[in-house]
Amino acid sequence: MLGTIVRPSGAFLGTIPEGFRSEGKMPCAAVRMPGRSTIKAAVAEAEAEAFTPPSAMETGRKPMNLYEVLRVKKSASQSEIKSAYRSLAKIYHPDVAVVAKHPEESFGGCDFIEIHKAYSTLSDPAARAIYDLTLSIGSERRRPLAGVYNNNSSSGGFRRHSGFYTSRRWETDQCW
Amino acid sequence: MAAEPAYFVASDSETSGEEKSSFPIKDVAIGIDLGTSQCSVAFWNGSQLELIRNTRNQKLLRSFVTFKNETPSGGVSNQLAHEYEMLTGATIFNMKRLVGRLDTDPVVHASKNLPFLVQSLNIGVRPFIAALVNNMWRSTTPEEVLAIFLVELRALAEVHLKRPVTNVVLTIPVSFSRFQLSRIERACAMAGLHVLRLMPEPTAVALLYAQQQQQISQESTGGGNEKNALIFNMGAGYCDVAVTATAGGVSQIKALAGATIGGEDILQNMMHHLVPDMDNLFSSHGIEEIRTFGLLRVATQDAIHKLSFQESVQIDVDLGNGTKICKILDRNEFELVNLKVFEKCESLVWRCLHDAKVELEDLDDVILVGGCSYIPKIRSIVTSICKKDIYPGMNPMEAAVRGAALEGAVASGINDPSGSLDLLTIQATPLSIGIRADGISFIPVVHQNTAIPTRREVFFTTVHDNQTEALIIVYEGDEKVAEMNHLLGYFKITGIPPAPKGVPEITVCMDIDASNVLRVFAGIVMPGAQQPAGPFMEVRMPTVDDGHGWCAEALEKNYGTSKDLVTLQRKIQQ
Repeated sequence: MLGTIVRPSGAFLGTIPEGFRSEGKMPCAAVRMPGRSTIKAAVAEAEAEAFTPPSAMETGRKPMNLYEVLRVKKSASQSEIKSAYRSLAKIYHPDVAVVAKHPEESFGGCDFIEIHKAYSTLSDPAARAIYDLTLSIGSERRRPLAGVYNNNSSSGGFRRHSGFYTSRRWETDQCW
Repeated sequence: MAAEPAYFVASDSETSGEEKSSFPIKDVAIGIDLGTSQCSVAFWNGSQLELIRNTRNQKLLRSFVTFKNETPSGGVSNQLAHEYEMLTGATIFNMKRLVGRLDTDPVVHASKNLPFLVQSLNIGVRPFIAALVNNMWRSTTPEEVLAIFLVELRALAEVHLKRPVTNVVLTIPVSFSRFQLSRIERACAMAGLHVLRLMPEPTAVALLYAQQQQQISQESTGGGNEKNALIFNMGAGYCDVAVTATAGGVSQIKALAGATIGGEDILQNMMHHLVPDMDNLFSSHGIEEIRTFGLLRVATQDAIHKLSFQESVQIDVDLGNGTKICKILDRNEFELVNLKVFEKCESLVWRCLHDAKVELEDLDDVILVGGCSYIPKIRSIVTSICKKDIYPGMNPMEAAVRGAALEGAVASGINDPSGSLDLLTIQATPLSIGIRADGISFIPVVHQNTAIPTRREVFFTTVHDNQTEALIIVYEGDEKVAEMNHLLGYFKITGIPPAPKGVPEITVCMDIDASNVLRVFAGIVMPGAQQPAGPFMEVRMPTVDDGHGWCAEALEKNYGTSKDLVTLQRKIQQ
């Protein structure tokens, strides 16, 4: 899962074909979802309570952290996180978002991948704790913690998928 | 594709109230449960799910195609006068057990004592399959047989819906490799059908469950009250298990497990038990042997069915070749003979629960579907593991097709004012996908049970100094040795700049989109460089065709380790 996120060096930026990267494509307001009013309402609620104003996403800015991706408070409970994930999935999952007609706009899939990444970190209490720690460290380097996390994972470091990314994107992180 | 005149039967004998099918729905995908032994078709009629019945008012249609003279006819339109008619050699069935398999596959070998001809040369090519027509073995393929059957299903649906049908959602076994899926897609294409989704059977059931749960608790949309359900599906050919977490109409598949094990194996075991030298007896496939085999098969099948509802059964059959079987068979004996089958089922349930990381006490419902779910031993295995009673709201024979039709409506973008289509399945990959590296090891890039859509990347490097080329050999499966898995394809990346071994970074990225299409990307990056060394490769998989059993061997023979890769350790450590 960390594939495109834990990209170890800035050198990699721009090497992957267009449509292959997942960053910054959150067409929030532009969701085509006729008739799914119940969900819209739910999301509106989630946005109202969001940790940061939703406008950040609507203006195309990248979400700063996983909580912003899921549009929940940092103090959100597990059930709030699950609920937010589901509501977002119902909007951004390609099955509902794209309506199989706009292949050129099918970045919906990428958005869902981001949402799922955020969810898989925040829904795992251990991963979330480590992630919160990295957030509190702020702009300091997070590499040692990433190491800690990987050592905890089950199969010799290869299972990096349930990991997390931090407030800075690895693509632009020149530390490595 | 024009329907044959036989299909233009005015309407079903049963008229289901008003003409709901004339509801202005265009291109809504229908759901097809393409079972090993039975098929069914369902669709969303604008307000609810409806199963299509054939002219004989049957909802469950036997999956077979009979070859007679020039026109083959399938189980949709053709009515068997008797079960034996299916066992004359002219009829091909169990297509789903054979499709996309090599002649080295044990499942193909186990099919050799079916009445039609299954021949294998054991060299890693497609087995030879033939039906007895006018005392001649006429060759066919599982894809062709499936296509003929699907044409009939399509015609049935078109007559019923009074509109052309092209889009379908098909259910498939969890254990199918992507190569097998491509064969199913080919069969559909031959029948003029476009596959909108291929849904693992238990995930179709999971979607139906999600809808039921949503109707029960309409109050919450996001739903903190998540429900975990274990779905166990066992039909004639395959056994599948899934664990799903459901809330607010969203079904997230947490884990999948499946194996090629089903009622057919139970039947074969019992036949071997009754006639121990069965394989020798039927190996020549003469007319007499086929007849004898048919008698044995029908008698055994009948006994197994009866054992689901009674403690013991009397088998009395004259095989006509001087052999008479006269025996009382009880459940204990039946369970002992099929011990391995039941053990396998048990291990699949445990594995799925383990992979889903769901504790037994967090399991809310246990759903049993498929023909084998009537077998008492199967029920007791699942309930005793899960320590729960079986969920009552599911029709074991119809759940999968209903779920497929539901997905068809959802994926076609249909909305329902009552919100009953406000559903979503978040699928997971049933098998890991990776490449051969570190010698003969299988290195997964996308792990099993990863939510779809997904995109993962792993770095590799060269094993030789100044290595200029590398082979990317893509496999699917969960075995540690690459070759034990299903080969999906291979390609070469060239133009690696000269460098000591371990320096160039070869990135392999796999992307699976929501319609489950796999793309493999690969490219070269030299440390410190801002740009990749040459264009990336993008390959849609699977690329292998029939006879791919040879490919891996041929690659090994021709290239040895000269184009090998190893995982880039320094990238893992960080």
